Amino acid sequence: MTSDSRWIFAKVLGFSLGLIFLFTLITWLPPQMEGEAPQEQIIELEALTLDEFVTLGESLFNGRGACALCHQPPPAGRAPDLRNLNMATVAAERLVDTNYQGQATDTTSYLRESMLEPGRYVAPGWGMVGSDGNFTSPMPTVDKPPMSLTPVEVDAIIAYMLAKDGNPVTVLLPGGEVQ
Amino acid sequence: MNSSLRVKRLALPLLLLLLGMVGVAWGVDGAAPQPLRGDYPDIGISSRAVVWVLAQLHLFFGALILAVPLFVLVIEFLGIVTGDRRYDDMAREFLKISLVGFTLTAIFGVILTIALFSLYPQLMGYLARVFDGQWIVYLGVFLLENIFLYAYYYSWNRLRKGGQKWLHLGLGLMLNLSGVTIMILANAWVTFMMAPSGITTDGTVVGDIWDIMHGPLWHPMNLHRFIANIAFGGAVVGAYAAFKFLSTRDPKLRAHYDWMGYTSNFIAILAFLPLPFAGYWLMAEIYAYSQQMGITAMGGILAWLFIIQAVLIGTILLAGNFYLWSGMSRSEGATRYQWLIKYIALVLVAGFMVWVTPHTLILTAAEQAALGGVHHQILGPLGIMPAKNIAVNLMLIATFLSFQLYRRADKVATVPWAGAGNALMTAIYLVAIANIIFVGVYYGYFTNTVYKVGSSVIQVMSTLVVIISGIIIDSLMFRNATRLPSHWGQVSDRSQYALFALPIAYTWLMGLMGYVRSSVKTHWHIYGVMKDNSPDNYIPTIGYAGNMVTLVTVLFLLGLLFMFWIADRRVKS
Amino acid sequence: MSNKKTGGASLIIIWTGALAISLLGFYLLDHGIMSMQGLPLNLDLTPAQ
Repeated sequence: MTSDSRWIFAKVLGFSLGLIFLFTLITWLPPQMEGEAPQEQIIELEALTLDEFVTLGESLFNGRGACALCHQPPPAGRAPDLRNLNMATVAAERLVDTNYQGQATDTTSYLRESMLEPGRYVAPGWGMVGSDGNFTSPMPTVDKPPMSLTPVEVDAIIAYMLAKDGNPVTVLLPGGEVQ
Repeated sequence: MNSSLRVKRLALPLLLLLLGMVGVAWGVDGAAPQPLRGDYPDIGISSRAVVWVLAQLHLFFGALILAVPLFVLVIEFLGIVTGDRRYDDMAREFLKISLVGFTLTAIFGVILTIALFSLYPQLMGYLARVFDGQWIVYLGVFLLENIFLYAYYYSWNRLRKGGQKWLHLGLGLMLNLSGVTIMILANAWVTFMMAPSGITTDGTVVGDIWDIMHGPLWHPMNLHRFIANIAFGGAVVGAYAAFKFLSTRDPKLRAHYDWMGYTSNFIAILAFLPLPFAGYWLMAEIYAYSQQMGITAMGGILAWLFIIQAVLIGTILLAGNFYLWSGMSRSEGATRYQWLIKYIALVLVAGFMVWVTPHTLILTAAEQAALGGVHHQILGPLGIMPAKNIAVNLMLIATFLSFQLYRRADKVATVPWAGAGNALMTAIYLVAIANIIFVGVYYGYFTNTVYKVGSSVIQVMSTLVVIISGIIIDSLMFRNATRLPSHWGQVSDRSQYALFALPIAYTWLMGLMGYVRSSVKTHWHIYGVMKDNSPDNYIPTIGYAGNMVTLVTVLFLLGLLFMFWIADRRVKS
Repeated sequence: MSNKKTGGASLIIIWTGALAISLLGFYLLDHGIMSMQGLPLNLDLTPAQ
């Protein structure tokens, strides 16, 4: 390479590395969030009080259950904003809807059905057009992968959903008691 | 050099064949293995980091060697059709530049395979079982690709005349087909890990190999990578041309490399324009497959990454446009259109700023209290998709306009309907822009989610209408047009830096997207089926990812320099 | 650019025509794309559901 060529090479290399460094710098600016690795949690189910059960439900809602990902306030929410709606009121509305085809009879059973058989009923305004052209519910089934929630975990979330609005919690604690 | 290269080319496939057989023989019962933390080999450094570097380098060089033969084939074909020998020479030159890339791809591929099988034996054993004999097919196609590459490159001068030239083109076509086959085979493995098909929830295979391969993400990934490769390849060879341009004072050589750089930029930007749509299809399929996976990518922990993506794409668009505007200096007829450039620049900058605006702000507690939350009342709405869809579509239209103006710069239309043609073209631009804005604002902010999401398809189609009608109208309108003088080589040195910015931004962006692709699986090797229990089973921070992507980009740069250096030495022969 | 000079009146006609064609075209595009996705629109482009 001639010295002219070498100087051009140096300039080009400098420019390239500078640009690369700029991109790197930009990645240091946003919040540095690390994904959570799944933790093994040993819970003594028999010993849970109602409050602890509700707290477990809340942590599942925000964590492994992945509920909070979609159930957000508008405009970002892709599903009804469960945290800010009163579950008893909403369930009552849904159950009397002429389109409602499910088997639930009260708030608790409606919540359970929405989680385990979400295809039964599409909340108005929230459906998406499936490949067959009909409206389907985008809600995944919570006891299947990747959430794979156990029945106890589903109950815990329902307990949280009921307790947060001050509604009576009618799910059984794992210890078998109703509070 | 040639004979030792031949030996290397045989050794690598044989090694892969052996490894493939090991994998296939790893027969265990039906379900996917669920290894414990202790089952993962520990080499003292992060296995994920090792595989990350090797995989990304393999993909960078792989993308290059898939892309270059594609536009080499097209350019060679153009050479036949126009009878202009310069096209043929340029095609051969593009191929020559990237030859070493084939070897580098193969080398990184082998090392990657060794690393994968050594560091993740359970996962690889399972995948080898699921994909059955496909490893052998992959190796076979890889061998074929090598044969066609040799034949295509080394027979170039011998197969020049008449019918033989078509035979030569045929070899090029086979090279491309085998390359694309290799890519789509590998894409099936990757998309299977993200959205598995043909298996039960515990990983037992229930479908045939086609069910396994044909998951919901396979074709979107195929399309996205195919188009992205072309854009990437164009950008890389453009950097070569730019450097050669800057390094010479000879007007003839400068003219040659200027033309080469222009052609590369043309390929890079033209292929770039449909990319957002292919990416959108991929994201839409991800959402359809699993809302959570979609939200993880765009609404959850990886959301900021897409803001960074906006910075990179803004760089690409600005660089590409800047190069086109600078290139207007080649033609005297360009002064007619100069007044439009500032408006195009305005749209690009405004669009970029909207795109970069986040929805959720990083604030201290005091700032949050003052603002009343983490969303700014006025700017917050710019942070969600409707605003960004408006921005990106307008930026693409603006870029296409730069293209169109550049192409028109050295021509004067002679058809009698030129006035009406221009009126129609202008109207299409104006109405498309208005439509994109209207649809984005109305359905985006004033209707429900499903209409909001559906309206983005209208925006995409509006942009496509502009591009397609622009191409059609111009090709009809400028038939037998008067040509104004245009001089290759008559362009500023500064403009060439755009041709360096492009491949850097593309490379870095590719690396970033790899981080997304891998991270949307969260703590799964195979989503929903085989958990990742390795020490690295969490999504790393974006700063960490940035460091890794920078590392692989710099390594790739070194590999490229090596590749170009060898190519230069071949010039002598 | 045409070699013939176009009169003012015909210019207005050409441009109005061009705008009209484009507006109609994109209006139909909007309807077509949304109904293809199962999201019908009213004539004034408001959602029909």
